[in-house]
Order: sequence, then C-alpha cells, then structure tokens
Amino acid sequence: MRKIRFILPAILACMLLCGCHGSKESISFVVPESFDESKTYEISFWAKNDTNINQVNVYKKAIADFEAVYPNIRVNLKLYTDYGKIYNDVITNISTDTTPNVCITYPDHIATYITGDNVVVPLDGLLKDARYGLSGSEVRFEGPSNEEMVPEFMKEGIIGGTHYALPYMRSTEATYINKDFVEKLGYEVPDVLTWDFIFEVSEAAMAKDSQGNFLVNGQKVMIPFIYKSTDNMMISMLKQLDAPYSDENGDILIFNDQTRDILKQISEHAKSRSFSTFKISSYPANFLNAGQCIFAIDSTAGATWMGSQAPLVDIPEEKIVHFETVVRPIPQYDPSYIRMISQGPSLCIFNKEDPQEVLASWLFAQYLVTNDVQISYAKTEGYVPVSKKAMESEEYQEYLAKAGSDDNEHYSIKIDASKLLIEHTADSFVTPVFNGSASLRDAAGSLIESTCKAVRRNEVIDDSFIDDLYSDTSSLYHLDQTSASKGKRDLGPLPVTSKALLGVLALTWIFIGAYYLRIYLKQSKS
Amino acid sequence: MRSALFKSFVKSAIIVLFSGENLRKGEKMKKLLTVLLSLLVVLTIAGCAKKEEPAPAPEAETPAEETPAETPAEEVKVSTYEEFAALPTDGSAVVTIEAYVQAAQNYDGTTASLYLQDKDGAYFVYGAQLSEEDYAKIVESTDMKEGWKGTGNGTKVQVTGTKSEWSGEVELMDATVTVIDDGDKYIAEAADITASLPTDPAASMNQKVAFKDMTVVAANDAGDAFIYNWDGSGVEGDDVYFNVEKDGMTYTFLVESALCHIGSDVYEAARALEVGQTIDMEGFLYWYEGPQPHITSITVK
Repeated sequence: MRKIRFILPAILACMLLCGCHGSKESISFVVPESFDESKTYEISFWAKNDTNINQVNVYKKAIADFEAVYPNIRVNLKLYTDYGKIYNDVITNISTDTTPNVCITYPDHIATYITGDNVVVPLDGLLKDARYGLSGSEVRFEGPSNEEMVPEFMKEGIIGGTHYALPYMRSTEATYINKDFVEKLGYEVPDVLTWDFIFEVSEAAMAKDSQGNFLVNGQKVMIPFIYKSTDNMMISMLKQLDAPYSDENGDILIFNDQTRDILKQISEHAKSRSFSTFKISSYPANFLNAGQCIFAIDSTAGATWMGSQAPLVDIPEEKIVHFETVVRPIPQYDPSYIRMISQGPSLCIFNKEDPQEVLASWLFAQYLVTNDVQISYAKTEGYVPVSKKAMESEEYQEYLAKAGSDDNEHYSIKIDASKLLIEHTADSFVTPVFNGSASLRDAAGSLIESTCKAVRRNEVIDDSFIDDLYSDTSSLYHLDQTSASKGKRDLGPLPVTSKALLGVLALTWIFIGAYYLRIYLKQSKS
Repeated sequence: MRSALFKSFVKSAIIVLFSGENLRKGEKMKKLLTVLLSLLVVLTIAGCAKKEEPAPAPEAETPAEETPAETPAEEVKVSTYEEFAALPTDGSAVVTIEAYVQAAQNYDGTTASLYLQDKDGAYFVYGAQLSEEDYAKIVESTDMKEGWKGTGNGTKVQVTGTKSEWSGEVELMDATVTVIDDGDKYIAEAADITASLPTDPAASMNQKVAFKDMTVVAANDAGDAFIYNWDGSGVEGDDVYFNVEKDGMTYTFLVESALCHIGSDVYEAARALEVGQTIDMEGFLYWYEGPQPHITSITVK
C-alpha cells in the first residue's frame, strides 16, 4: 500500500507533464536515403487556372506523363480558379492535417502556412540534394538544374532565409492600349508611359458632344483608364517613388505622405470618371474590346482576353469594335527607372508523416518545371517560364518568333506581353513576405478602392478623409496586429504557480537523489 | 478552482506528514517524497487549469437623472422600387430600400449576396456584411454542406447601399443589412418571362423568373449537355453551365454553385441533362454582359 502511495502520484505526475506538453509533435522532413519504388503513393495537387481550359489540359497531360515515368505515384488533381480559395482551403485543412501534398500558391500565403510547425517543407535541402534535387542523379526525367532556374524568380520563394516556394510561372502587369483612340486624341503612344501621360490622355477622352456621347468613341460609355488590380497599382506606384510600403521585419510603412499624395491624385481622375477599377466597373478587357476604354492595365496572364482579335472574349460579338492594340509596361514616374511587379504562381510542398510521400510530392513538383510543362503552360497566356533552360530552348524561341502568325497560339498581344517580362526581368520586383503581408496587399488596394468610391459619393478627399481612411484600413486589415518575423513576443514574468511547480520539481529530484544516496551509503557501510 | 484544490491538498499533506510518529527515517523520507510528488500533481493541474475569470461586477445602476433624454431616431428615407430604379448606377447614389429575402449566396461567415424582391421589383445586394445570427434569420437552412440551397425565407430586410452596375448587373454594393424580423414575410411567385427573354430581359433583372419549354442544346463542340465553368475548365462542385434554345435563340444558363451546392436537386438535375430534352426552369435573372439566369429548379418534360 505504501509503495502504491508513492508510485501512483509519480506515474500521474509523469502523465500530466506529458499531457501538458502537447498531444502531437510534427516531425520535420529529412530527405530519405532513396525513394522506395516498391510502394504506391497517392498525392494530391491543388492547382489554379485562369478559367482557361488549355491550362487544365496542360495539368492533366503533365500528370499523365509524370505517372508514366513514376508508375508508383498517383496524382489527384483538384482545380481552382482563385488563389484566395486555395488559401482558405489550405488554412482549413492545416488544422485537420489534411493539407494537399503539392499546391499552387503565392509566397504571401506560404508566410501564413509556415506559422504552424513543420507544415510546409523547406526546399533548401531538396533543391541541392545530389540524388533527388533539381536534375539530381536519381531523378528519372530531364529537368532544369539549380543554375538553370531564373535566379530572380527563385529568390522570390525565400521566406525568412528559407526556401519554401518553387516558382511555377511568372507574369507581370501590362498596359493594353487602344492605339487608334490615343492617336485620335492627338497623342502618340510612347515606348514607356508615364502616369502624367496616361491621366492627361484619359482626361482628354472625357469630352462629349451635345447628345452626351463621348467624342472619341461616339458611345454613351467611356472609362479611359481601368486598372484591374488596385493592390498592384498602389504597390507599384510606391515602388517607383522609392516610397515606404513594408519591410522584411513586417513593419507596416504604407500609411505615409507619398501614399496620401497618390490617393489625392487618383481621386481627381476618379471624380472626372476618367479612371476606374475592376471592383467598381468590371473587367478592363470587356471595356477595351467594346471601344469603351483606352488604357486597360491587367496581368500579362490575361493577355488572351485583350484586343479586337483576342482568342478569348467575354462580351457579345456585336459589341466588339476593331482597333489596333499595343502593349506597354505599366506607367512609370521616371521612364528611365522602370519598375514592374513580378507575380505568378509558385509551388509549395506540405509535410507528411511519411518522408517517402514527401519525396514523391517533390518529384512531381520538380516535374512541373521541366521544359515540356513550362513551355506548354507559358503558351496558354502571357506567362514566362521560370527556367532559363525552357526560356532559351529552341521550341520556346520559335514560339516567340511566330508572334502574330495566328490569333490563337501565336496571338501577338499575348506574346508581346510575355516579351515584356522577359525584357524587363531585371526591372521586376516583389514585396517583402511575412505573416500578414497578404493582408497588407489587400489594404493597399482597398485604399484606392475606398477613395474612388468616396469620390463617387461626392465626399471630399482631404487630409482628414485620408487620416480616417488610414485608421479604418489599419484596423479592418488588422495591420496593427501583424506578428511578422519580429521575434518572439515577450510573455512577461512566469506566473506564481509555474514558479512553484518548477521549485517543487527541483525539490522532488533533490529528495529522490538524497534518498538513493542515503540507501547507497547505508549499503556500502554494511 | 485552483485555490480549493490547493487547500484540500495542504490538509491531506498535514495528515500524511504528521501521522505515524513512530515510523523509521527511511519511511518518513518516502512519505515526504509522496507528498512532494502529490504537490507536483496539484500544481500541474493548477497550471493547466483554465484561469478563473472573476465574476463580473454587477452593473452600476444608472441614476435616473443621468439617463439621456430619449431622442427621436433619425428618420431614414426608404425608397420605393420606382425611386430606386430612377437613380443613376454610377456609384453616386446611396439608397435605402426594404424588401424580402428570396435567396442568399456565397455566405462566408461575414458577407453574403442577396436576391431581394417585393411586389414592385427586385434587387441584388452584393457582398453585404451579415452576422451569423442575422444570416440564420433570413435563410431556410444554414447547414451549408453538400446539397445546400440558399433559399430565402421571405424575411423583410432594410438595406442601405450604393446603387452600382457591374458588367450590366444593377446591384447594391457596400451595403449594410438590418433584419426586420417582425413576421412580415413575402415569397415571390416566379414570373414566366420565356416570351420576353429575346426582347426585353433587362426589365426582369434580379427577379424570380420561370422559363417554359426550352430545349437543351450542346454546351460545347464535343456535344456535352453541360460543362463546369463557362469554358469547361472547372470540376465537380463548380458552376454548371448549359445552353437552352427557344424559337431559334440560344441562351446560356447556369446553376451557381455558391447558391445551390453540389448535391442539391437542381445541381444534380443540371448534371443529368441530355441534349434534346425539353425543360422548364425557375431561377433568378442575374446579369453578366447579358441575361445569365441563376437556375434554382429544373423540370425535365
């Protein structure tokens, strides 16, 4: 009985301490010695397409080809048309440990995923692994080596010093211009647009006749300048001005005087209705193709929708007007200092209990950057392959050279848009990634959207309005709560119960030690 | 909880430590260890236990003289449908209307888009802020799993928002919704607009409508009766698009997956369509660069 009295609390104490330590400890991934091909692996791939059946077909073919190379790996494809939905689903599935194996995502989103322990597999070890890394000795297909990847695009996948994302495709933004209307208004389209130029031409396009028809197009509707992504608009304008936005530590710097000046400038053109946004008016391509817009800024990954001869259209045929379309970089403050955003899908791999399953995922992710997949997918839109191996290949160069030879695969606007990023890769930039950077991006766009909406409701855009807007936006997007990589939060002094617990723990071990020492001394005496 | 646990432990410890004075030294040591380990258990439990929140202090009674005098609520001008229809769609008009919820879609826990109607006309409210409590008051079911349909229960709501247009769809955006849960309910009858569809569809925008005797035609070059997403790039669970023909005119209709989930009667009926079938349908006349009804029921004839 006495023994039980001693043993029971001891067992209970051990169990409680174990219980308090957390129910499950996830294991970090270590590259296995070799890939076990005797077992079958089923992996899930959550992919995003731009509501483009050609991209879906590229994914399906890539999976079939990969499964032929690795018959013991089966890839289940789940399709999305929205990055936000993938993000939401991943977040939901992290808590239930049912994340996909591989998914298309943005580095901003990965920054949130990695707030959980060992959720996303760091790629540094895998990338450089001599056997299973990029073009490794044991990899059964011919892919690019580390050196053959575009270094600028590779760097975008590094978060807090660790490589978490493998680039899949890259795009930027472009200005799609109705050249006929610009010339009709008495201007020439320059090689590099400036913000002053685009706003000036847009204002000139607002002149109407006595019946209320716009002189430039003879229609009742004309929105000369529409920007699809106002997040990118604000971010790019600040970057071109070298104005603060955020830093790697997650400091939010966007609420500054340069942002204030930008908002005031935009408000003037929103007031005259010469400028609008996708969220307020709808897709820029629809207005451009209907002759109701002169400057449509959208992703190069939306190039197949732009222009009278666009292979993809979303408006009735009778609404389409015929005009010459030209592609230029987004407007700049200084034409000699071009800055344009680098964007596009990346791949991340989620950690699993079985390292062999993770390795199977990695092999598939690596397959997606082979020339076959890269070139086929890049051809679907104004995308650019992420490897120099694909970019410099004969097949891709031939594709670029055939620009304009037809209005489908070689649609000139789409290829011009791709060339824009190829020629300006060194001028492209990305914003710092941290836990909360996705919210900051949303907030950047929201500042412009809110200003434009306020103007439409006849509110005055002055310093007082902008002060309130800063405050509302900061709290709406929780920008005052971003944890970023600012180090661990100071949790303050230990509570009294914790101190007592630690004291008793130490005391218990001292007494246990003393007890056995006493027995030992007694025994050695006898 | 923690203090009670600790007190009972101290009592037990005193009894254990000071009973049996005649025990040998080794036994006393064992006893001490037992007590210490027990203390460890108690402190661990105390450490893991949820912190007790102090009981909230009773609210101080507001002295009668400090009660603010009742001020009349600011009069809200509620526009009729006719007044709403006369307003511009350029985003310059903020308007308040009252109507009855016919359907709700895309609820994400904070916002939903609503089809509203009264006897005079219909409205589409885009992405309005709505609490879970309020949302539960306006739909037949909040269990948004497979098979869910965003059927409204006809509850009256007051909506203040900006009248706008998006790809031709006239809507109220940036809206706030107040549920008027006073038992006054209205469910609109679906108006048959088959005849007016080719000539004046915009007159029925956002209304609950019916289409009779239309023929299913191929949705793509492969001859499929339906496709997922407008270009076939979707998968099960995405919007189901299909084409119907009447009097030589072909129209694209869809089952909006955010309004009628996979597994719902209409979603499954759309997936079972065959080219050449004659069907009757009901739905809401949504607009995207032209009429694009969101179908909520299909009857194959």
